[in-house]
Amino acid sequence: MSKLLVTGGTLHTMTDRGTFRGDLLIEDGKIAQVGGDLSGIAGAERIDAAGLDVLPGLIDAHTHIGLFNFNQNPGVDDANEMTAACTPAMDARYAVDPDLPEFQTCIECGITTILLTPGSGNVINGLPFAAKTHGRNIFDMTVKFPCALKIAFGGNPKNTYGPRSQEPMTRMGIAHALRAKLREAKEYMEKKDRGESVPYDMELEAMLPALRGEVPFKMHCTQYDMLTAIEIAKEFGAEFSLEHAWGASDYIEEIVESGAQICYGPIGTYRAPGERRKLDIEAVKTLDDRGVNVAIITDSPILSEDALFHEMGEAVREGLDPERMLRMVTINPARILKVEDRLGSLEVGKDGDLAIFSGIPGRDTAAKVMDTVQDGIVVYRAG
Amino acid sequence: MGDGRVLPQWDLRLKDGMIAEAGQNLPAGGEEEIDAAGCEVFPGFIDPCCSIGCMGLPTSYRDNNEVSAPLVPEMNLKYSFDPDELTRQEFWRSGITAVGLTAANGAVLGGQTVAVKTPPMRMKDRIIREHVFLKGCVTDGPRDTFGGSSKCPMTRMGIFGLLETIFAKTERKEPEKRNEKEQVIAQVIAGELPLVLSAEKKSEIQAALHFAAGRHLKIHIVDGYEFDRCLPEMKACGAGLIVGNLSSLSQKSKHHMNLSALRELLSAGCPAAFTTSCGGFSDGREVFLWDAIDAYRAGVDAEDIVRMMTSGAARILGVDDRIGTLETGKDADIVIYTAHPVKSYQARVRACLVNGEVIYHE
Repeated sequence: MSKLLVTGGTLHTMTDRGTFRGDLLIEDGKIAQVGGDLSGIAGAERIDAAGLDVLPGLIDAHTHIGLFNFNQNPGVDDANEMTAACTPAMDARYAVDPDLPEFQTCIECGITTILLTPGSGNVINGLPFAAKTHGRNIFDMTVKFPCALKIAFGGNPKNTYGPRSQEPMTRMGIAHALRAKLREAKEYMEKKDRGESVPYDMELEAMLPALRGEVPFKMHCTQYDMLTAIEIAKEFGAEFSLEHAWGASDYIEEIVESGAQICYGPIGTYRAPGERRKLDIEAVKTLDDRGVNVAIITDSPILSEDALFHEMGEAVREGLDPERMLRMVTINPARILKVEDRLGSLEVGKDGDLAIFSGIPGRDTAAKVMDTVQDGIVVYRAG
Repeated sequence: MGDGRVLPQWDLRLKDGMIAEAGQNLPAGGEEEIDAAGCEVFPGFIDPCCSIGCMGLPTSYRDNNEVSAPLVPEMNLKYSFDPDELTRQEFWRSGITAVGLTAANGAVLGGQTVAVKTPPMRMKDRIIREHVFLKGCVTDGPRDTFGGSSKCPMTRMGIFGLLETIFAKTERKEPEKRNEKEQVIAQVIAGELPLVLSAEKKSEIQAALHFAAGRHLKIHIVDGYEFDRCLPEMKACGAGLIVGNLSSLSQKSKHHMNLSALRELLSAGCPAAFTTSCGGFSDGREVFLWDAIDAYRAGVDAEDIVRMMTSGAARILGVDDRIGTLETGKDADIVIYTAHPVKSYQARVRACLVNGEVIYHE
């Protein structure tokens, strides 16, 4: 039995137990004990975390790592299969190059789980999945597939199909194309549920987990597109998260009433009329205060993965309590990914994924990862 | 102060838009007072290589990317300055009070930068100085722009061939026979107009410095994501570095960048600065401070970083007689933070002044 003992650190549990000093034991890759004096335990590899902050491995709930490759010129886009407005069956795992340097950057930043999603070039883009960041084969690294049904509003699908004079050329067209496909899938599902024989349709099959409420709609939207996203998600009784959500501060009441979850980011882009008109990281505090489950995301490699700390920092600069901010990169995204039974907090039985920091990331600018632990194994140690 | 000095509990007296006096316990002179007790006061931050404010958004043809020919050194960015586009970014809310509006990376030589203040005001006050440096690019930018239609440059050899040709022609011509482009190049050769070249990879930086060293040009590198592998060449040329936006498109991962090498560059006396731009394209105001924080996390001294954000940038822009430090006679461009923004994410801009006017306060 392999044991890893982390002693003397400040444990940010992300549970009702809060944050306190104590030891933590991982056995065979799972968290076995949290808190108390465990120094008597024999036969364990030890990490002295005195003076350090121990967090659950961080989670970025929206990335395209390995699907976009900007490490060479010309860049590679394996994230957008822009051959039809709705491509729900596109399986993001097949697009990922697990050897890209961004995975190593994740590990060096204490980010042990990421959601990888198809892009937003279509109205329905495909199936995102969650994966651990350390590994050699993306299928083995996968924690959960599918994690959501990825849907996109606004400029991205418009700018794909508009120049081809195909639907959707407009926002009206996006709402129309999305509803039509969802209705088709719903009818397909109902026929199947009634035991009727229906010809197998891979695209419609891919939409069933979301229509059955097993995974959420993951809806790329900004500004007023949020209202369309909310309306359609409610109409089909789906769970959903609003992705990017620039301008959320103008729609707080609608978001709260709708029960939406929010993946906010990336920030740091320039302001321009249209979708970039309002970049309001302060919205994450307002939404959190109102009980909305919020995650902070990078959209990496659009924003570099290591910029997650800066985004967390900008939320803190706007007055967000640092402990609440840490939840937005741990337990909150774990809930959005529906993997909170395995990840996102320091609790007995969960995966032994830790980010051990000197300083609090997103509060202290100099905060640094000292150790990253994935499934009980030290996968990074500061040199 | 912007020059590396930190003077606790000093006062500043501002008069007619300038810094009139800096010292301890200055007697009240009947002026309006700002109590900055407990705050950190800096010269306004400067981004010497900004594209926002000269793109002409929204647009399909960016106003800072004249690619009708690969060599357009005579272009003056002043004429592409859209004051509202710059104002919309609210740069002062991140403490940035001046920027150099700069050509994008389409052309090999793209035009001359104009240094401007970020808040709205009369144009004659807003422009600090034009013709401050000549911007060029030796990355894939010009190759992607021209090579695709089988025009020179298709390769890096082509890029440097074009540079060599225009410099050599200029050197061989009687001054009165030089055309408009060559007159600009002559200023570069004479050291009156610095050359700022966008170069990312080690091989691009080394090529740029090799070209500049052969002619003893005053050169600075922008983007510079592999500068840490070119320190001997940088130091030999006294080349400045404008660190590109590190948060864009995985630059640190892509280039395996070692930012702590900034220490060696700074101790050799090379000017250095940060910019919001990456590959000739700026992101939002936040990323300027993020670059500074990345350097701090990499072990660079906080006050050296402040120097890069202020006087280093002013030196590269050639406007250090006007801005960049809190010295008597400089423009009263001042940012007051609640804490040190390089050291804490909790630091907020409490007030920002430009030309002595409060343009923002919490």
